Amino acid sequence: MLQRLIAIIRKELISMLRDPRARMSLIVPPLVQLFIFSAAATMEVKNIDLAVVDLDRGPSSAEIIHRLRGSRSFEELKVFPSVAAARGHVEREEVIGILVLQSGLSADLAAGRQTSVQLLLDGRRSNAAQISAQYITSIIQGVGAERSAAAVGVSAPSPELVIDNWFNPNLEYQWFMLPNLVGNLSLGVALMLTALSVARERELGTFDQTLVSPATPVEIALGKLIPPLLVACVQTSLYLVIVTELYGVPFRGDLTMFYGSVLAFAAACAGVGLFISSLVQTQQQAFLGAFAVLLPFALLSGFATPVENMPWWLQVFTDINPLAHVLRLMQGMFLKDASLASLWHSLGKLVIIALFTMTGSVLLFRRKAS
Amino acid sequence: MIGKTLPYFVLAMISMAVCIVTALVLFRLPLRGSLLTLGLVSAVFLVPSLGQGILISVTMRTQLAAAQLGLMTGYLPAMMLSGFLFDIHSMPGWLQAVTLLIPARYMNVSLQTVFLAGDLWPVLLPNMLFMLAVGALFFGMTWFKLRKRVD
Repeated sequence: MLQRLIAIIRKELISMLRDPRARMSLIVPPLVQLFIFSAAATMEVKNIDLAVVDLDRGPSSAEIIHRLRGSRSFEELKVFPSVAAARGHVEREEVIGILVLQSGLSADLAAGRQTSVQLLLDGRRSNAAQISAQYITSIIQGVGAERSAAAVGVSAPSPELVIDNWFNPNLEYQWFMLPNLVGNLSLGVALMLTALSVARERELGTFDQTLVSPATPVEIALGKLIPPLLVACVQTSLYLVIVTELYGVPFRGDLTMFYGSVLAFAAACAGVGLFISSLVQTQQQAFLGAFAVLLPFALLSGFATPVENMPWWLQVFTDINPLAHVLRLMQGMFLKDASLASLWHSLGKLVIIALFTMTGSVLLFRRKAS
Repeated sequence: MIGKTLPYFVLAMISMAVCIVTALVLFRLPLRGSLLTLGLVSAVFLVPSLGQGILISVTMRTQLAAAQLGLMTGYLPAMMLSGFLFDIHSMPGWLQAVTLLIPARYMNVSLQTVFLAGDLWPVLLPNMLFMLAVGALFFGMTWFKLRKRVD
């Protein structure tokens, strides 16, 4: 049986890699996606302008403006005489919001009175607006505390919050995004390759030939599932090298667990792909089916939006989403030096999902083949 | 060329209507602009989208390759580079320049404005003009390719 299986695997690998365009499409699009999306995907706020309306013109407002200009959060600080004058700039997305420093601000702070400033933000760009609000708040609170402490003559310093970020000391967003991308891109490949395999044979007319060969349907199905696993391993090795060497993201886990996770993940995706492939007639249907599965998996995996924020019925779905588990594993291995003891939960679920999808797809294939 | 795209225009408008109704009813999203503006913006967005589709269709030989290229250059950039998940201003300069060619970027701003801010024509008109310009580019390239082929 093993000989027949190996023969089928060899045949699949050859047919997969024979077409030079197919070889290109295995390497070029994922790399292009890796480079472009690692540059695009960021939750940091950079190159953002802020509008300021200074009605106070006192030492406190000058200090606030001075500190905002000095911080690297905002590219440019534009001063306007009134909110009405600044409004058009917010509407055209030229500034993220308007900071209104009302008159009497410096006087209030000098007398030690409680006071407030107003921040008007563009709610359409909600993510960037929230993060900008945090930057601005910390600066304003800093100035407020200093000024009123000096005025009232209090010499006791207020407690300072010292934040230490574990695993990603400088909060480099790319360190978070790149392990995620490694998982995402492997998903695409494993799913796509298996989804196209049976459909391609049906279109070319060689499917019946394969069925007539001495191999049993189960062996044929396994022979279709294994080559994408090998391709996925090679691709993720390439990603691993690029991410650690070119981007400098640390890899703190151990390699056996890395490849174990990759194999389990690729097996889970390959099972889904073969399932799709057994159901459709043409390659195009297979491609669209695979994409229709890929998109919910990707969006609901915790890739860009945290799983904890989702409603409970979606969180249940993420439990059976192999991408969600592999993302947790990747983050653990890249950033945390997590051992098997802490990650076995995710790895175990991934293996269970893989076994489930693979047996399901092999059974369906056997039924369709007879 | 126009004959081929018109049925898909109608289909896309219907699907857009379904999404809008879902957003308004199920998610209770406020619509501070007018429905007419919403319809106009959607129709304008379909011009570059259909143009891109038909350009791919004219260039590729097999349906499968067309589907692959369509999804790679249409869907993925629309998700990652349109300002949908990640703010465009935070991206590096060269990538911001790339997003200028992506119609979804203009649609993103227009939809956010129409739903949340109202009918701000100084914001909507330039975005719609950009969309039409990109659409004209795609349709122009398609027309050029078709002409060469018939000759």
